[in-house]
Amino acid sequence: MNGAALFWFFAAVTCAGAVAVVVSQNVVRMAVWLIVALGGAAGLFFQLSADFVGATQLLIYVGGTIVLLIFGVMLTASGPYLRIKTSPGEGFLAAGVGLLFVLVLMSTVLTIDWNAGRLKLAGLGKVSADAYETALHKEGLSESDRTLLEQAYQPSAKADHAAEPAPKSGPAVAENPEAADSHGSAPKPGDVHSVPAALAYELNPGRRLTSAEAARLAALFGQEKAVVASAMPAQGDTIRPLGLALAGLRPDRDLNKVHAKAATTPGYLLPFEIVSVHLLVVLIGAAYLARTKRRRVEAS
Amino acid sequence: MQPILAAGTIADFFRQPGTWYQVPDLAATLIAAVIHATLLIHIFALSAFIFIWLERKVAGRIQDRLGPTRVGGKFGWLQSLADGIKLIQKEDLCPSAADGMLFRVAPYIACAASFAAYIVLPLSDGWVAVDSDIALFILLGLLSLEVVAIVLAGYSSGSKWSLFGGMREAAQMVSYEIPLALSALIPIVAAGTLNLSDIARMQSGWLVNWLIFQNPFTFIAFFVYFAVATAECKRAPFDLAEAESELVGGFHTEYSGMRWSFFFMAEYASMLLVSIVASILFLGGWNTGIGPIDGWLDGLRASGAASPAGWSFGSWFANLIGCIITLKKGALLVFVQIWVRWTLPRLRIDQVMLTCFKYLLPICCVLFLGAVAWPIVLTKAIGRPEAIDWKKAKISKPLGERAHEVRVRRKAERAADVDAKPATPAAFRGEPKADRGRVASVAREEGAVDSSRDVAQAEVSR
Repeated sequence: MNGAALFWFFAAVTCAGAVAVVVSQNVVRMAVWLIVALGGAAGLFFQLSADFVGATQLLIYVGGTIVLLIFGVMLTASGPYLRIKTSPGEGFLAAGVGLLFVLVLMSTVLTIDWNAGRLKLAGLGKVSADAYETALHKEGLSESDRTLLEQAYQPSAKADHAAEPAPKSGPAVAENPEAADSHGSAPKPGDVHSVPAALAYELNPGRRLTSAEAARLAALFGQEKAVVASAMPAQGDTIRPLGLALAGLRPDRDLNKVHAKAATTPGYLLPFEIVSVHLLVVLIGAAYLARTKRRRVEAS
Repeated sequence: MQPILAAGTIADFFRQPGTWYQVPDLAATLIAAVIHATLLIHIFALSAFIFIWLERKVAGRIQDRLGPTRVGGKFGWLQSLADGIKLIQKEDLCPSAADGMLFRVAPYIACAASFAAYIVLPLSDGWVAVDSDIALFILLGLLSLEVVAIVLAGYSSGSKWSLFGGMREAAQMVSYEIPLALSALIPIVAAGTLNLSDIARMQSGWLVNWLIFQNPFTFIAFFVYFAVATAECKRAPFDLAEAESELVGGFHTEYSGMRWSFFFMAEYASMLLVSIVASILFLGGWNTGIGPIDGWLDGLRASGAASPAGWSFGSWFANLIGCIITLKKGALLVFVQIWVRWTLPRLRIDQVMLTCFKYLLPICCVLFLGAVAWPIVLTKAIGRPEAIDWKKAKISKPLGERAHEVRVRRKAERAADVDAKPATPAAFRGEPKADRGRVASVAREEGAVDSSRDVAQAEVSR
């Protein structure tokens, strides 16, 4: 609840700042409102326990980029560039593009099954047949719980297919396992627990769960705390793994592996190097552009 | 891992169900936040109160004057209060050429940025509002926001003096942030963590445990850091933004009354902030530097943490002493800053930039390189190269721990050799049962010396 209140506060600050950037016409004021918007976004990062990203946002964007922006405006303070007036046509165009972007975001957010994601984080994305049967045949299981279990889980494909992602399809698949048939080892449609071949049961992608249903399912498997915990952001302490990953090491993945000679996870060394070289080139270019142009002076 | 928000414990206290002081969830969070902010704002405001008096007094003495003597007894120690009362009564002016909103909001940004940085600053073991794992990074990020306020004040005043002051300030701060971050990075390389509490904790013990004496590079880095931090607080000899001989008052020419004083509260607060950070990064933080006393205080803290309440009078007392020590160290460094201000003449703007880019920055780069190479050279020199062999050592641990583990492991192996028993892989506990482990044990059975080079040779020969 606290998290929600703080989230709405920071989200409101971010959005208000962003709108004010667009609405205001003075360039310096725009920069100030941009500080507000970026600071609010940094607050959201902090709230997600992404301390590093939040602090980077403050250091680089608010403390660096915006200062340089205002610095640049100050150097060119007089003249027609201090005020920016947009014509109504530009305003409509920008509003249209912005609305389209909001629609894209909304459609993406609404497509994702967040509750199933929470169950997967709690380790209930795929349960063993034993656990499933135990939960299904528990004493005093109410009828609604039974239907919920039957609808939410489906027998997973063969063990060697297990690593593949579940087929993405519409809600109709829940009762009609045509997609599963195409895998070859499909169980018969109908009551799932009568299929003895299934080694494990996985979440049925066709059945959208509400958050109450997800919590109920976790409770049926005796893991209600896990779902609550996975809904909350993890604690910080990401800086060392992050730094090592940038240096090309993933100790969280493969240090002290059984076979030392097995391929190690590369980390992010290559992208990091590419970005570094790119920055170096940019710096050299900037120095080249900013150098004193002696020859032109001599010519004149 | 302890919770990131220390305020969480106060909030939990107010959330206990069935007690008369139970309040709703959000209210408990707010109460905890208000308590922490109130405690911190006292350090923020009182430090400015004291240091402004100290500045006047020290300036007077250095210039062979008495300084304030009238207000509040012999030493004039209530001078800051008199100043404050005077400033509150002044008219709040806003020039007609100014951009009103930005002009009014700039002093608050300066204060807020400086105050926000105190959130992650530990004053004693556990006495910190947010015990973040990247406290130093957040602190530097927040400190860099102060420049926004100065630049805005300079721009929005509508005066050319202010504009010049703001431009100088922007150029200076943006340039000096680079050596500031680099010089703060050097003790970080030695410590292996960005958590300020952890850094202070690992300097407990005798004086040589302080990071300034860790290696030659941190020793030089301390002085570089201190010079750069002085520049970052726009203190003399780097106070180009308010050079009164050239720019009237610099960025604060048009300000009056409390808004003017907010800039100076922020300045004195950030002076104390960078000084405390210097004392934590280099000078042992809340540790006294005397081994037995530190051991005793750490014992008191540990006893408090071990008690069922997680708190005892002893641990509170130890933390109080630690807090006083931290503040004393910080105040001492602030005194040095004041001393420097009234001793050295102001630099020219080109000299300020030259100092940054031609001297401080290369020095920092060399120091950084040296600090990184130091453990490699040292582990080779004292014969524990396994500590930096990334295939064997747990590289996610700090180097000091790894070097120590090698030593412990060697001791265990030597004891095993003395017992003339066949070496068991138990010496490699914590390591996987890798091929390498088996090779190592085979090599040891053949009586090979247990250095990684021999292990590697054995591996090759197989």
